Amino acid sequence: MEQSNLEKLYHQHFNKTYRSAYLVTGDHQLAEDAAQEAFLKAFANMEKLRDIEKFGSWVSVIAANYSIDLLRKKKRMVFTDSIAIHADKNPEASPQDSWEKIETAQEVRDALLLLEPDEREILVLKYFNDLSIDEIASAIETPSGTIKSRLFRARKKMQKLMQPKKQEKRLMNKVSSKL
Amino acid sequence: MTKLKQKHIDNMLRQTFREEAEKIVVPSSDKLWAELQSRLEPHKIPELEEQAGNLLAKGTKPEKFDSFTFWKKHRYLAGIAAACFLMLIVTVSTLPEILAFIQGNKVSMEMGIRSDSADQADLMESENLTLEESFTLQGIDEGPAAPNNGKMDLSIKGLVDDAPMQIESFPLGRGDEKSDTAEEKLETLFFTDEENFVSSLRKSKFHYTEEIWQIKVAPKDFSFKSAVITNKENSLLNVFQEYEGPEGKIMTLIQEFFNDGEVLDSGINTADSLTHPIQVGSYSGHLLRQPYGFHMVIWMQNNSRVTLSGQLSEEELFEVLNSLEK
Repeated sequence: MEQSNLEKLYHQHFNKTYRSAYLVTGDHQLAEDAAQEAFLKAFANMEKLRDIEKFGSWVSVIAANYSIDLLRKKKRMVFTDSIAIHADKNPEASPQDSWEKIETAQEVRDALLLLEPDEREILVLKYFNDLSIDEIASAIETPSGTIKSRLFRARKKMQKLMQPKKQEKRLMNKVSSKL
Repeated sequence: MTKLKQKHIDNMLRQTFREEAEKIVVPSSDKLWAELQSRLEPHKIPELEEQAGNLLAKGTKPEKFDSFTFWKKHRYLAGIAAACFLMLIVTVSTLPEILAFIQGNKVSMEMGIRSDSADQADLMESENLTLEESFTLQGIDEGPAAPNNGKMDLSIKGLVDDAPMQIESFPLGRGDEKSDTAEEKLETLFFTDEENFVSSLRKSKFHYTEEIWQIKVAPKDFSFKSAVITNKENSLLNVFQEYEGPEGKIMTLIQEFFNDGEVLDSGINTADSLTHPIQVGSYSGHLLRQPYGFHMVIWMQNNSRVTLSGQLSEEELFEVLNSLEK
């Protein structure tokens, strides 16, 4: 049976929308709810959309935004921790290099957990969905300036959260090299 | 205290989100579509369908030309285009001087004459210089004399007027080379048949001690698309091989050769968190993990730089790497 237009749009953009929502919530049930609500809202407001190419990013932003509301209701955020699968495949890398890489990836995850949901949302939209400030602003119907400052704040916080660990690691290396 | 660079954090964020997203198990959209359908108001569905149809119809306009993808796909052309562009800039930037020279700028005329003391007598005769001839004199001023300036004049004039250039006869002029050897020509051999390419490459390999690579085993569903061998003055300049996979995925192997004394580096920013050192046979190289599943391995050999890249998984890339044949 031939797919309807709505169904085509749904299947085409569901995966990315679901993943965006999951990256904000860290919960499958919340991500599913957010994605479903986002599609309902997007379909209901389709007359506002001018360009079909923007549909994917538009519905992702709605889902991420809706994820925050759900998260506020049910405070929870977990990232997967199967870091072993990220072991460096580089045969020449020393175990120390591989471990440092895994550690760094884990540091990013840890820092992300400490962010406010709206800060995490902006990072997901910017770095996972690759959206510009203007695209995010127009989809959330928020001034670009607000988005810019939210992004600035989130990035600064990430920098601060990761900095102490880096310092600590450098000191440890220094000490161990002297021993 | 050394601060973590913001760019470094941006890269880490991109990579982490990508890795996290890959691990997410997405539920079946078929099942969820059925659930969503039940939540749509039935009387509104025809209207929404029409709106979606209109949008989809509007969206099916011809694909936009993506210059980034184009140049990524045709890197060899990018090199030639860059050389043309540079020559055009040099020519255009010297145009006012040429015009000033024609209008009787004695100083520049004297400089031109002084620079070629061996041909002073000839130059004294050339008071009625044409546009092309005066440019030749400027050229001489910058380097040793060219014994035959006729061809150089024509090519420069061509560039100024309407740039009718062909790849086969494009003259390369390099600032650090003598102009009397500047009549270098590029010979570009383009192949769409793999057998012809392999046979030509085999002939080229015969003259070189440098290891020249060819893809022996392509990843699953990838097939040979095209190849280009570019020679300059009977020396290999580069070998380009392109394979096409499903959904327009591309894999390329490029080997760029350099002359003795010419120093090239891998062009890799080793400080980048997406870059990882790697050993390719007896050579040191780098693996780059880039967004959207794009991976690249680049290594430097004695007289060449080799780049294998494509929208492949790391496993597929390493398989191709292992299968490369001299």
